[in-house]
Amino acid sequence: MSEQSELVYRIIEMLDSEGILHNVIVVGSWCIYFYRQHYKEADTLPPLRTRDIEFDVSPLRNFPHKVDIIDLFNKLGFVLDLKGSGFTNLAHPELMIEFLIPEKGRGTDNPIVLKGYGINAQPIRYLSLLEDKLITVNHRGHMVTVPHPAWFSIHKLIISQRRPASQKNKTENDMKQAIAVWDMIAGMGEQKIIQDLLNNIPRGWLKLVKQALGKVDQLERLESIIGNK
Amino acid sequence: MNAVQGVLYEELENSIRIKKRYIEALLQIKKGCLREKIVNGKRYFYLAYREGTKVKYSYLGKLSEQQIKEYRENQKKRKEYQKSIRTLNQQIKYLRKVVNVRTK
Repeated sequence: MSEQSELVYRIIEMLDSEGILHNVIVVGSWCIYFYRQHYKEADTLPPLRTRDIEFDVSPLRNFPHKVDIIDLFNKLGFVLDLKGSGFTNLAHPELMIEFLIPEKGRGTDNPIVLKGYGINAQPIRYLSLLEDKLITVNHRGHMVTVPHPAWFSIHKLIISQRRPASQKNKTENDMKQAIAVWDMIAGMGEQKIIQDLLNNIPRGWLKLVKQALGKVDQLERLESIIGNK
Repeated sequence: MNAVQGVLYEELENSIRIKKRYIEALLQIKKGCLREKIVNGKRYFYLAYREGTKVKYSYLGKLSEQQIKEYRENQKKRKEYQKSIRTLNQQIKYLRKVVNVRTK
């Protein structure tokens, strides 16, 4: 096992021992790492993992048990790395931790302070989509919460179209991962889940999905399940 | 710059920034390691640290168990941070080589 994977395990073990593992959702590219453990059909997913691992911490807001998260990560050798207008990031040579929260209303550039946890989370548009359907993955005896792959795939397609031109590499990676996960779901014979999801997202979001798929000549996969909406 | 180079360049920037954070964190931790001497059955403590080529001892006196624990934890953390800086130096050296950025 790589040093990076071992560190991820130690983080999960630590969050579980503090009783907050169920209240954080692993989002972003690291979901693929957990899908590969959960689904036997996930062998086809790209094994590539990035150094940054993102946690959606919005469920923590309703959790009464308070924990000093920075202190916990400090014990694992992480150092504080404030970014932007004060978003709490934690850094280690193997990993960078980001704490995210869904952006509401008109949005803000300011961090959302999670009282009792000592962290300032970064509000992110479209993150709420990932919270709609979650699954839990057994990772060496600890139950890790991740978005359902269908929601992960559609979310990646949407955000790929919202990135600035300077993040071309990330856009390409988003699309590659989204399509690989979509293929995995199709391979499991569960395209109906994607179909239902696409029939229920706002029109503007569907437009972004279409735009993303159109760029990689994959529009027919959309049309085959929801027609020409 | 192609896509792979772009990712590597970003990683290089990250490693440089993280190294800076570790150096800042390291400066916050008191230097030196705890040394114990027993005189007439009583425990006295010194902080041993290096100044140039010389090892110096500063007298701390009697310490509570809690203070001893804190000194030892600081020492452990210092070692951990120094190890992380070494890892980051290796990453930076490697990434500079692959993205072909000249070191100053």
